[in-house]
Amino acid sequence: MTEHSLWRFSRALHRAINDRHFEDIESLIDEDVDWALYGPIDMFPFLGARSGKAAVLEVIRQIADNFRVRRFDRESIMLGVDSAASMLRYSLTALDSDKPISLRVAQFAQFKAGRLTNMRVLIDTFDLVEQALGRAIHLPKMTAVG
Amino acid sequence: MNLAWPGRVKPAAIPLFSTDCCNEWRRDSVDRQANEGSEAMTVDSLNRQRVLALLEAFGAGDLERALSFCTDDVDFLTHAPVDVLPHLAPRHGKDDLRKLWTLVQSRYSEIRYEVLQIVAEGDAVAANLRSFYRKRANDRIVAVDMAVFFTFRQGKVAKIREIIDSYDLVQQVLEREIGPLITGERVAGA
Repeated sequence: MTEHSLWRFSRALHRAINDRHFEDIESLIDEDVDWALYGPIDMFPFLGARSGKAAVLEVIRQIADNFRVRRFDRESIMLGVDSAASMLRYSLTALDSDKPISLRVAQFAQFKAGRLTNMRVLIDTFDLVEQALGRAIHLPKMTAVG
Repeated sequence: MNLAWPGRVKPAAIPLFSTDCCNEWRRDSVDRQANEGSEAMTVDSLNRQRVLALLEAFGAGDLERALSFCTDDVDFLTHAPVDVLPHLAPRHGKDDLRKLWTLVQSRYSEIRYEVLQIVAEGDAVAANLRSFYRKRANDRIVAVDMAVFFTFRQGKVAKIREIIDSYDLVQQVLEREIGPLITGERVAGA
Protein backbone atom coordinates (compact mmCIF):
# COMPACT_ATOMS: atom_id res chain seq x y z
CA MET A 1 0.00 0.00 0.00
CA THR A 2 1.40 3.36 -1.02
CA GLU A 3 1.98 5.89 1.71
CA HIS A 4 -0.34 8.89 1.56
CA SER A 5 1.35 12.06 0.28
CA LEU A 6 0.49 13.86 3.52
CA TRP A 7 2.87 11.75 5.58
CA ARG A 8 5.83 12.38 3.30
CA PHE A 9 5.02 16.07 3.17
CA SER A 10 4.59 16.32 6.93
CA ARG A 11 7.94 14.65 7.65
CA ALA A 12 9.70 16.84 5.12
CA LEU A 13 8.08 20.01 6.48
CA HIS A 14 9.17 19.32 10.03
CA ARG A 15 12.66 18.42 8.86
CA ALA A 16 12.79 21.72 6.99
CA ILE A 17 11.64 23.75 9.99
CA ASN A 18 13.69 22.04 12.69
CA ASP A 19 16.79 20.90 10.79
CA ARG A 20 16.81 23.46 7.97
CA HIS A 21 16.93 20.56 5.55
CA PHE A 22 14.97 21.86 2.55
CA GLU A 23 15.83 19.34 -0.17
CA ASP A 24 13.06 16.89 0.69
CA ILE A 25 10.30 19.47 0.95
CA GLU A 26 11.40 21.11 -2.30
CA SER A 27 10.76 17.91 -4.22
CA LEU A 28 7.27 17.55 -2.73
CA ILE A 29 5.89 20.96 -3.75
CA ASP A 30 4.29 21.52 -7.15
CA GLU A 31 5.66 24.41 -9.21
CA ASP A 32 2.19 26.00 -9.30
CA VAL A 33 1.28 25.45 -5.68
CA ASP A 34 -1.37 27.69 -4.15
CA TRP A 35 -0.74 28.37 -0.46
CA ALA A 36 -2.37 30.40 2.30
CA LEU A 37 -1.70 30.71 6.03
CA TYR A 38 -4.53 32.92 7.28
CA GLY A 39 -3.53 35.55 9.78
CA PRO A 40 -2.25 39.09 10.39
CA ILE A 41 0.54 39.53 7.84
CA ASP A 42 1.53 42.89 9.32
CA MET A 43 2.62 41.06 12.48
CA PHE A 44 3.78 37.80 10.96
CA PRO A 45 5.11 38.39 7.44
CA PHE A 46 5.25 34.68 6.63
CA LEU A 47 1.45 34.47 6.91
CA GLY A 48 -0.77 35.24 3.96
CA ALA A 49 -1.23 33.89 0.47
CA ARG A 50 1.56 32.71 -1.86
CA SER A 51 1.65 31.28 -5.35
CA GLY A 52 4.40 29.10 -6.77
CA LYS A 53 7.05 26.86 -5.32
CA ALA A 54 9.74 29.50 -4.82
CA ALA A 55 7.43 31.74 -2.78
CA VAL A 56 6.27 28.82 -0.62
CA LEU A 57 9.82 27.64 0.02
CA GLU A 58 10.71 31.16 1.11
CA VAL A 59 7.82 31.09 3.60
CA ILE A 60 9.01 27.76 4.98
CA ARG A 61 12.51 29.23 5.36
CA GLN A 62 11.06 32.22 7.22
CA ILE A 63 9.16 29.92 9.56
CA ALA A 64 12.36 27.91 10.14
CA ASP A 65 14.15 31.20 10.93
CA ASN A 66 11.59 32.06 13.59
CA PHE A 67 10.28 28.86 15.14
CA ARG A 68 11.21 25.38 16.20
CA VAL A 69 8.61 22.63 16.49
CA ARG A 70 8.90 21.06 19.95
CA ARG A 71 5.94 18.76 19.60
CA PHE A 72 2.82 18.25 17.55
CA ASP A 73 -0.22 16.03 18.02
CA ARG A 74 -2.80 15.21 15.38
CA GLU A 75 -6.18 15.54 17.07
CA SER A 76 -8.16 14.71 13.96
CA ILE A 77 -7.21 13.58 10.48
CA MET A 78 -9.08 12.72 7.31
CA LEU A 79 -7.39 11.36 4.23
CA GLY A 80 -8.93 11.54 0.77
CA VAL A 81 -7.39 10.10 -2.39
CA ASP A 82 -5.33 13.21 -3.16
CA SER A 83 -6.41 15.38 -0.26
CA ALA A 84 -6.12 15.58 3.48
CA ALA A 85 -7.51 17.60 6.36
CA SER A 86 -6.19 17.59 9.87
CA MET A 87 -6.45 19.42 13.16
CA LEU A 88 -3.17 19.61 14.98
CA ARG A 89 -1.87 20.90 18.26
CA TYR A 90 1.58 22.45 17.87
CA SER A 91 4.02 23.37 20.59
CA LEU A 92 6.57 25.79 19.16
CA THR A 93 9.46 27.83 20.44
CA ALA A 94 9.93 31.36 19.13
CA LEU A 95 13.67 31.38 18.45
CA ASP A 96 14.28 35.08 19.07
CA SER A 97 12.74 35.08 22.54
CA ASP A 98 12.87 31.37 23.44
CA LYS A 99 9.20 31.80 24.27
CA PRO A 100 6.92 28.75 24.04
CA ILE A 101 3.89 29.10 21.78
CA SER A 102 1.05 26.61 21.64
CA LEU A 103 -1.24 26.57 18.63
CA ARG A 104 -4.21 24.67 17.37
CA VAL A 105 -4.05 24.51 13.59
CA ALA A 106 -6.38 23.26 10.84
CA GLN A 107 -4.68 22.16 7.66
CA PHE A 108 -6.27 21.40 4.28
CA ALA A 109 -3.98 19.97 1.62
CA GLN A 110 -4.36 18.80 -1.95
CA PHE A 111 -1.80 16.78 -3.88
CA LYS A 112 -1.18 15.82 -7.47
CA ALA A 113 1.27 13.08 -8.38
CA GLY A 114 2.59 13.17 -4.83
CA ARG A 115 3.27 16.91 -4.87
CA LEU A 116 1.47 19.59 -2.87
CA THR A 117 -0.74 21.72 -5.12
CA ASN A 118 -2.86 23.52 -2.54
CA MET A 119 -2.50 24.24 1.16
CA ARG A 120 -4.83 26.20 3.43
CA VAL A 121 -3.96 26.63 7.10
CA LEU A 122 -6.25 28.20 9.68
CA ILE A 123 -5.07 29.20 13.12
CA ASP A 124 -6.77 30.69 16.17
CA THR A 125 -4.83 33.87 15.40
CA PHE A 126 -6.15 35.98 18.26
CA ASP A 127 -4.64 33.45 20.63
CA LEU A 128 -1.42 33.40 18.58
CA VAL A 129 -1.05 37.18 18.81
CA GLU A 130 -1.72 37.20 22.54
CA GLN A 131 0.90 34.50 23.11
CA ALA A 132 3.41 36.31 20.91
CA LEU A 133 2.78 39.55 22.81
CA GLY A 134 2.93 37.75 26.12
CA ARG A 135 -0.25 39.37 27.39
CA ALA A 136 -3.97 39.51 26.78
CA ILE A 137 -5.44 42.00 24.33
CA HIS A 138 -8.17 43.83 26.19
CA LEU A 139 -11.17 44.64 24.08
CA PRO A 140 -14.79 45.31 24.98
CA LYS A 141 -17.07 42.31 25.05
CA MET A 142 -19.04 42.24 21.84
CA THR A 143 -22.24 40.92 23.30
CA ALA A 144 -24.41 43.19 21.21
CA VAL A 145 -22.68 43.18 17.85
CA GLY A 146 -20.84 39.90 17.54
CA MET B 1 -10.16 50.81 8.30
CA ASN B 2 -8.64 47.64 7.03
CA LEU B 3 -11.16 44.86 7.04
CA ALA B 4 -9.12 42.87 4.60
CA TRP B 5 -10.11 39.37 3.61
CA PRO B 6 -7.96 36.90 5.57
CA GLY B 7 -6.17 35.64 2.48
CA ARG B 8 -5.87 39.25 1.37
CA VAL B 9 -8.02 38.45 -1.64
CA LYS B 10 -11.31 40.25 -1.39
CA PRO B 11 -14.40 38.48 -2.64
CA ALA B 12 -15.53 40.21 -5.82
CA ALA B 13 -19.25 39.88 -5.34
CA ILE B 14 -21.37 38.26 -2.73
CA PRO B 15 -24.36 36.49 -4.21
CA LEU B 16 -26.52 35.52 -1.29
CA PHE B 17 -27.33 31.92 -0.56
CA SER B 18 -25.43 30.61 -3.52
CA THR B 19 -24.61 26.99 -2.89
CA ASP B 20 -21.65 27.05 -5.30
CA CYS B 21 -19.85 23.74 -5.25
CA CYS B 22 -22.75 22.17 -3.38
CA ASN B 23 -24.97 22.45 -6.43
CA GLU B 24 -24.84 18.76 -7.20
CA TRP B 25 -26.44 18.09 -3.88
CA ARG B 26 -30.22 17.76 -3.78
CA ARG B 27 -32.19 18.04 -0.58
CA ASP B 28 -34.69 15.29 -1.34
CA SER B 29 -31.95 12.86 -2.19
CA VAL B 30 -30.04 13.54 1.00
CA ASP B 31 -33.18 13.32 3.12
CA ARG B 32 -34.03 9.94 1.67
CA GLN B 33 -30.51 8.54 1.82
CA ALA B 34 -29.78 10.02 5.23
CA ASN B 35 -32.92 8.56 6.71
CA GLU B 36 -33.02 5.20 4.96
CA GLY B 37 -29.37 4.61 4.18
CA SER B 38 -28.13 3.85 0.72
CA GLU B 39 -25.95 1.08 -0.50
CA ALA B 40 -24.95 3.28 -3.40
CA MET B 41 -23.27 5.79 -1.08
CA THR B 42 -20.32 5.11 1.15
CA VAL B 43 -20.32 6.31 4.74
CA ASP B 44 -17.81 8.96 3.66
CA SER B 45 -19.98 10.39 0.91
CA LEU B 46 -23.17 10.16 2.96
CA ASN B 47 -21.62 12.07 5.86
CA ARG B 48 -20.21 14.58 3.41
CA GLN B 49 -23.73 15.13 2.03
CA ARG B 50 -25.12 15.46 5.53
CA VAL B 51 -22.63 18.23 6.32
CA LEU B 52 -23.52 20.07 3.13
CA ALA B 53 -27.21 19.68 3.97
CA LEU B 54 -26.67 21.02 7.49
CA LEU B 55 -24.80 24.05 6.14
CA GLU B 56 -27.44 24.69 3.51
CA ALA B 57 -30.21 24.52 6.10
CA PHE B 58 -28.38 26.89 8.45
CA GLY B 59 -27.70 29.33 5.61
CA ALA B 60 -31.37 29.20 4.65
CA GLY B 61 -32.38 30.00 8.21
CA ASP B 62 -33.97 26.61 8.80
CA LEU B 63 -32.47 25.98 12.22
CA GLU B 64 -34.64 23.01 13.09
CA ARG B 65 -33.59 21.22 9.92
CA ALA B 66 -29.94 22.05 10.64
CA LEU B 67 -30.34 20.76 14.20
CA SER B 68 -32.01 17.58 12.92
CA PHE B 69 -28.60 16.49 11.62
CA CYS B 70 -27.17 16.67 15.17
CA THR B 71 -27.33 14.31 18.13
CA ASP B 72 -29.18 15.48 21.23
CA ASP B 73 -25.88 15.78 23.08
CA VAL B 74 -23.99 17.51 20.25
CA ASP B 75 -20.83 19.18 21.44
CA PHE B 76 -19.79 22.49 19.84
CA LEU B 77 -16.53 24.35 20.30
CA THR B 78 -15.06 27.30 18.42
CA HIS B 79 -11.46 28.17 19.10
CA ALA B 80 -11.99 31.91 19.47
CA PRO B 81 -11.57 34.54 22.21
CA VAL B 82 -14.68 33.94 24.29
CA ASP B 83 -13.85 36.86 26.56
CA VAL B 84 -14.37 39.09 23.51
CA LEU B 85 -17.03 37.00 21.77
CA PRO B 86 -18.82 35.45 24.76
CA HIS B 87 -21.56 33.81 22.69
CA LEU B 88 -18.87 31.60 21.15
CA ALA B 89 -18.34 29.83 24.46
CA PRO B 90 -18.56 26.03 24.21
CA ARG B 91 -22.07 24.65 23.70
CA HIS B 92 -23.28 21.26 24.81
CA GLY B 93 -26.54 19.73 23.66
CA LYS B 94 -29.02 20.56 20.95
CA ASP B 95 -30.91 23.14 23.01
CA ASP B 96 -27.72 25.01 23.83
CA LEU B 97 -26.66 24.95 20.18
CA ARG B 98 -30.13 26.16 19.15
CA LYS B 99 -29.64 29.19 21.44
CA LEU B 100 -26.32 30.02 19.79
CA TRP B 101 -27.61 29.61 16.25
CA THR B 102 -30.75 31.60 17.05
CA LEU B 103 -28.54 34.39 18.41
CA VAL B 104 -26.40 34.34 15.26
CA GLN B 105 -29.51 34.44 13.06
CA SER B 106 -30.83 37.38 15.08
CA ARG B 107 -27.67 39.38 14.40
CA TYR B 108 -27.06 38.49 10.77
CA SER B 109 -29.74 38.82 8.11
CA GLU B 110 -28.01 36.68 5.52
CA ILE B 111 -25.55 33.86 5.91
CA ARG B 112 -23.79 32.07 3.08
CA TYR B 113 -21.07 29.46 2.84
CA GLU B 114 -18.77 28.51 0.01
CA VAL B 115 -17.21 25.12 0.49
CA LEU B 116 -13.58 25.45 -0.60
CA GLN B 117 -12.64 21.89 0.31
CA ILE B 118 -14.33 19.04 2.08
CA VAL B 119 -12.68 15.81 3.14
CA ALA B 120 -14.59 12.87 4.61
CA GLU B 121 -13.26 9.69 6.10
CA GLY B 122 -15.48 7.34 8.07
CA ASP B 123 -17.23 9.23 10.84
CA ALA B 124 -15.23 12.40 10.35
CA VAL B 125 -15.73 15.26 7.91
CA ALA B 126 -13.64 18.42 7.64
CA ALA B 127 -14.77 21.44 5.66
CA ASN B 128 -12.81 24.53 4.72
CA LEU B 129 -15.49 27.18 4.38
CA ARG B 130 -15.57 30.75 3.19
CA SER B 131 -18.44 32.23 5.13
CA PHE B 132 -20.31 35.49 4.73
CA TYR B 133 -22.54 37.06 7.35
CA ARG B 134 -24.51 40.25 6.68
CA LYS B 135 -25.00 42.31 9.83
CA ARG B 136 -28.56 43.35 10.49
CA ALA B 137 -27.32 46.49 12.25
CA ASN B 138 -25.62 48.11 9.25
CA ASP B 139 -25.64 45.64 6.33
CA ARG B 140 -21.86 45.18 6.51
CA ILE B 141 -20.52 41.80 5.53
CA VAL B 142 -18.33 39.79 7.86
CA ALA B 143 -16.34 37.45 5.59
CA VAL B 144 -14.16 34.84 7.19
CA ASP B 145 -12.52 31.55 6.24
CA MET B 146 -13.02 28.77 8.72
CA ALA B 147 -12.22 25.13 9.29
CA VAL B 148 -15.02 23.00 10.67
CA PHE B 149 -14.47 19.44 11.85
CA PHE B 150 -17.56 17.27 12.25
CA THR B 151 -17.61 13.95 14.08
CA PHE B 152 -20.56 11.66 13.40
CA ARG B 153 -22.18 9.09 15.66
CA GLN B 154 -24.81 6.80 14.20
CA GLY B 155 -25.36 9.10 11.25
CA LYS B 156 -25.68 12.34 13.22
CA VAL B 157 -23.24 15.09 14.04
CA ALA B 158 -22.07 14.56 17.62
CA LYS B 159 -19.14 16.98 17.70
CA ILE B 160 -18.32 20.24 15.91
CA ARG B 161 -14.93 21.94 16.22
CA GLU B 162 -14.16 25.22 14.46
CA ILE B 163 -10.89 27.01 13.86
CA ILE B 164 -11.13 30.55 12.55
CA ASP B 165 -8.70 33.33 11.75
CA SER B 166 -10.05 34.80 14.98
CA TYR B 167 -7.93 37.96 14.96
CA ASP B 168 -9.48 38.96 11.65
CA LEU B 169 -12.94 37.89 12.82
CA VAL B 170 -12.73 40.13 15.89
CA GLN B 171 -11.62 43.07 13.75
CA GLN B 172 -14.49 42.59 11.34
CA VAL B 173 -17.08 42.19 14.09
CA LEU B 174 -15.74 45.16 16.00
CA GLU B 175 -15.22 47.14 12.76
CA ARG B 176 -11.87 48.42 13.87
CA GLU B 177 -8.26 47.36 13.64
CA ILE B 178 -6.71 45.83 16.71
CA GLY B 179 -3.19 46.60 15.53
CA PRO B 180 -3.08 50.19 16.80
CA LEU B 181 -3.96 48.93 20.28
CA ILE B 182 -0.76 46.93 20.37
CA THR B 183 1.44 49.09 18.17
CA GLY B 184 5.00 49.36 19.21
CA GLU B 185 5.06 46.15 21.16
CA ARG B 186 7.49 43.52 20.08
CA VAL B 187 5.88 40.33 18.86
CA ALA B 188 7.81 37.12 19.45
CA GLY B 189 8.44 35.12 16.30
CA ALA B 190 7.71 38.01 13.94
